[in-house]
Amino acid sequence: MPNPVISAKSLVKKFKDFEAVKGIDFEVEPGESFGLLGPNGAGKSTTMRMIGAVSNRTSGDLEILGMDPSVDGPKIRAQLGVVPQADNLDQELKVWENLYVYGRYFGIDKKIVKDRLEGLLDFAQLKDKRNEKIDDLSGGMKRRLTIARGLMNEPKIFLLDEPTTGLDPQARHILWDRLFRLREQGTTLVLTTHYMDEAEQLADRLIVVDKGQIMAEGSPAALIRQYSSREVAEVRFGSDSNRSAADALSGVGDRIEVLPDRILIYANNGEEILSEVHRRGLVPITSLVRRSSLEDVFLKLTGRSLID
Amino acid sequence: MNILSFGTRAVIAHKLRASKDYLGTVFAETFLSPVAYLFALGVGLGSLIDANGQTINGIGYLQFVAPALVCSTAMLTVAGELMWPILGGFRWNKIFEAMFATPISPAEIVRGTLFFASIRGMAATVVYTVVVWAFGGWVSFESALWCIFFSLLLALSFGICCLCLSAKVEQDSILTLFYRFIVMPLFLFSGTFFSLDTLPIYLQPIGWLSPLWHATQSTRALSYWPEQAWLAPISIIYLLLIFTVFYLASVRIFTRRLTK
Ligand SMILES: Nc1ncnc2c1ncn2[C@@H]1O[C@H](COP(=O)(O)OP(=O)(O)OP(=O)(O)O)[C@@H](O)[C@H]1O
Ligand SMILES: [Mg+2]
Repeated sequence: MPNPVISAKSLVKKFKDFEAVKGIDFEVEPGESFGLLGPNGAGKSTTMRMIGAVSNRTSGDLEILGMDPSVDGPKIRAQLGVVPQADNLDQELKVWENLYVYGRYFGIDKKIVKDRLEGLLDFAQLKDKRNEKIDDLSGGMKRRLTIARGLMNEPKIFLLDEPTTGLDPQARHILWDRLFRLREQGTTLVLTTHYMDEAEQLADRLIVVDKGQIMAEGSPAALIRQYSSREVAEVRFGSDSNRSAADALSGVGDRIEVLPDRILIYANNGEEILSEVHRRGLVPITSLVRRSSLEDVFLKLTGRSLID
Repeated sequence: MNILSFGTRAVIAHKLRASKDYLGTVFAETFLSPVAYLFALGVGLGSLIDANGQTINGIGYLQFVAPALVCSTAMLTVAGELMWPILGGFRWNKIFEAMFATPISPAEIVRGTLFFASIRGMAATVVYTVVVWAFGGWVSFESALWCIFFSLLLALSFGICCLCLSAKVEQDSILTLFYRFIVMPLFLFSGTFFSLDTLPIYLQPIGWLSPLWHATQSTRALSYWPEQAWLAPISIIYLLLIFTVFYLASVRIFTRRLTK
């Protein structure tokens, strides 16, 4: 097995007394696409900033491309592409200048930067906006530019913190496709997301984090197999009656989750569950049957829903 | 340590590029404001003082006030560039975060930003110096050169103080206080418009601590008060000392804040 490009052992990050990352272990293999999935405040961005050789860890071991970020920060950052959660483009520069200036920070020759930025403008579908000011771009365009900028130095590892937040569905799918191609070329991807469809699409393997700890690890399919049933029946009785309906449903399916707006019943066959609900004399306002997803895994692991 | 390392130069180039849009306004301001000031002070107030047969240690008012005006321009220009934009670089547009995602170091960001502001300060200084020359404010060519030299030292040393403070604070209200209660009084009470010894004795030490006073007074001494020339080396050392202390502090603060 090749050496991992990222290896974290008992990684801890404290902000004063608050422990945002509580001793997590994980490894990322070269060429892999690795995901961090978790709710707000789980510690995803904090972890990404440590991997990005920016934020100093409080304790534990961390190795990026065989180097220690607290010793070789600049050397590591030279080989990383970073897409932060919040865009940090320079508002005073034009679109193309943002790419140009950023490329120069990597010590890349002016001419090469100029060549590369043409390709990146294309990648971000911003060719016709090249001379616009950042303020005049839409939120999604800014996001695309930030993502393109992260590729300026042709990174070995591409770190994306919630890359598709703010993108419309079409732009999201285009980005997924581009990331897929990058991976085919051997770039290692590390990404965080709230969207389970994104995690399922993009991540070969992921960790589910909550409150600074890893709750589970595996491929999306394996996690779903391990922590959920094959199907889920979702029934709604109206927010006032969900509780009492749930009591009447006890024993149905493998497991029942009562959310504020609906009840989830986990089982191998969802349609059978719906029949059983009706047999018990309950008439939901709406009902549907779907495949289990990472959302269900998350709910099972943390007792909370992924998207608030 | 390479003072003008690649990363430092990249920061300077970045900042210059980002400021080129307001270069026109800046240039107009650096040109028009000295003309207005000099006209009011040198020609208006000055002729009043001179007409009374009063001189300041044998020097006409325009020649007295010229070094102070030029040096304070350097000071105020770097302050404008190294206060709100620094806090903003951490808090609002986060350009420091973007810079630090690349191989460059916090020290390079500090130097690049400081040097950029100093370049702007010096551009204003040179324009001002030329305008003063047109008004006949220099007693000699060397006098103008000394003034530019001390303006540079002042831009670097006072600039790094502003940068240091602004990298430390979380709220811009503190910067507003600093500007109103430190920068402005320094501008007014550093022997700028009137000689320090006209102030009550207990206020004079404020002037001696003021980097602006050192820059201004040393220029004056080297230009037309040779008996005070001993002040110049002391001022140079004092300004370099401030620079060193606050440079080291700034690098620490930037490093802490960026690696948090
Ligand atoms: N600079 C900081 N100072 C103090 N606390 C911080 C700092 N940065 C993050 N935290 C805290 O650490 C915890 C984890 O934050 P983090 O940004 O890593 O979460 P996240 O998983 O990325 O969440 P989100 O999905 O909302 O982006 C939060 O409780 C947050 O308040
Ligand atoms: Mg985050």
